[in-house]
Amino acid sequence: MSKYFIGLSTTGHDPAIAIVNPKGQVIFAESTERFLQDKRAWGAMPDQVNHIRPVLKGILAEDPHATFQMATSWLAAKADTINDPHDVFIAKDVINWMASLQKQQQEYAGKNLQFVLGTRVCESIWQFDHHLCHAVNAVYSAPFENAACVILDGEGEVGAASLYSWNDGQLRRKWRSWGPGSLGAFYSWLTDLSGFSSVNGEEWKVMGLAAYGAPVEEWVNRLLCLLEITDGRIHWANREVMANIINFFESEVSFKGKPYMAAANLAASAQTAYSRYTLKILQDVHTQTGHDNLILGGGCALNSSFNGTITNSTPFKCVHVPSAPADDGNAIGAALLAWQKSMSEAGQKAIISHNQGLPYLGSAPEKCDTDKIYNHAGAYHARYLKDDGAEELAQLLAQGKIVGVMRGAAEFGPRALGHRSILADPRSPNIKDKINALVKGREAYRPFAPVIPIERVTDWFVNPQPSPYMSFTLKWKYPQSEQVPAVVHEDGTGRLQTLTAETAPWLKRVTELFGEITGVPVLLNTSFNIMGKPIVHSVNDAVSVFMSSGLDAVLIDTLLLTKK
Amino acid sequence: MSSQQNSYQDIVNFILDNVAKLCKQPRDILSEDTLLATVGVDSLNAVLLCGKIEDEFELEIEPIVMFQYKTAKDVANALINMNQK
Repeated sequence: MSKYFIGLSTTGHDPAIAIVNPKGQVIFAESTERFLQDKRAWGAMPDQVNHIRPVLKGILAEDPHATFQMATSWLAAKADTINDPHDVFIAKDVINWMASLQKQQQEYAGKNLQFVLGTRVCESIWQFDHHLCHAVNAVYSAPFENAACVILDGEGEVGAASLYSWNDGQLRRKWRSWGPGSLGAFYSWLTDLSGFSSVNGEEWKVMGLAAYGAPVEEWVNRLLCLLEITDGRIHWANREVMANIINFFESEVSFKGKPYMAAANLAASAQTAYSRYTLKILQDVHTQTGHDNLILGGGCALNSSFNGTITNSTPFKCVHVPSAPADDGNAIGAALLAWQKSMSEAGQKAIISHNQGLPYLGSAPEKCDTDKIYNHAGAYHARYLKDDGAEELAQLLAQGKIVGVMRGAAEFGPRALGHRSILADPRSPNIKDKINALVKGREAYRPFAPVIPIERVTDWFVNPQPSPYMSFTLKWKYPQSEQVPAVVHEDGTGRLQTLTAETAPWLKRVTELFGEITGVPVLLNTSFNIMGKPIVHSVNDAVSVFMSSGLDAVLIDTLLLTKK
Repeated sequence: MSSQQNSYQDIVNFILDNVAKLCKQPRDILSEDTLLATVGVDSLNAVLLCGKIEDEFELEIEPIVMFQYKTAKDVANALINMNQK
């Protein structure tokens, strides 16, 4: 009888589910928002019956006697441990709402699985520390045997920063920051002040907008008086000082309801202040640990603009960020911790693996579904390609076509990494506006990202480093950047995905073939969705975007759809 | 500091020293029986105290400890009991 371990991310936002097999390998991980097609899936249970049933069916077909143990990504409901939740950065009603959703998920997540699995699943649900879940998830995909592992987010069990040491398979907490000092909450406040929505997870729009502005020294100085970093821990400054500064920004520097470009200088100031705070934390951590390698997790690890500066600005030589560093990724952390606990209780050695870098852990298109699309093609041409489609796709892209790709298992994490992507030719200066107008419908300033074979990164980027999950923004080299205007941001950077034969063989081949045709081994890659919606999940989602947008073609595994 | 070496009095003194600093109170008015809430230990100061105790004594403490126990004496006894488990 084999035991599988199901991790449930139970924060209240970004719910997700992950499954670890008896060997301690992650065999499935997916955010609930994909299945529900509801951005961030606020309040939704991570164990949606119809989402998980086909996955379990596959496991039980191969392993009819399988049993299951569930685990959540928090030790307890926050509302039960802290009796007076408050924050200067986030409104009290928002905090109370979020706490109620977290409590609801912590109490009721797993009930659907108990219904579906019956006696196969243990009745008790294990609960694990939130930052420990982040750390285990981050370590699992890290290529290092030794590293400092820093978690920075909005809030954990007791605070918003933790340091772990990762040495030869052992993950140990060195310290955790207590209290409401939080870089995540700080950036959320500035996101709302810039006219965006932190509830919608629009922090990265601030990061993108920062390139269009210049930091205002007075604002940055005031922002840097809000928090104090001591030995890596984050604390609020004097509360009276904080209240005055916050009042100043709310009354004098708020861009709520204004055109987004008006907030560019605030965005630049926010990014500058965030970077300085985080640099101080990382410098403290390096002094404490002496490690050359850094593993970064938690929602703040999605700040790719900052991440790209770490090796130049700190003594750390290598940095790893997992594909899902935010709360969705904690489903993996909880599942792995459950596996470890179960093994330990059985008296067996249980070292959590690392260097497990493949992010393609989600649902895959079913052949029966693509056959339906093929058989009922009326408004479009449909044909199955004989090979893997790489050559034909490279040709289409070189002709200027915008192509949606849905291939194999979906990426786990917020970035499209070639399995749920829209690809295009980055050489055209007009393609960005075209994709925005015809497909994505998003703000014109926001950059599109490049993909590039790892061997070519040195030729095209300054401070080259691996970026398999689009976690790092690097400066393009000049004049190479002039060849790819569609993926060069206002400040001359690109949030690149580096391609290796191990992590993204097919997309690497497409990009190389495109390079052979055009002389440019770079493609534009953006997520396969429309503005406001999650990345496509089902074959029907993909066809729906294709039929209701300006996409020229869609490749679903080997089924190519083109418009008549 | 090793948790094995911590005496009850070390922990009580550490709590009261930090309560005095955090709440801007004269140290000499604080005793092991002082109700911490009455001298300004609100929920924010309580969690900050937890962090200081955890760092100083290298103990893993539960966030609820400062809300369950009302005096330095009660907190110190709880921590010693937790550490012995």
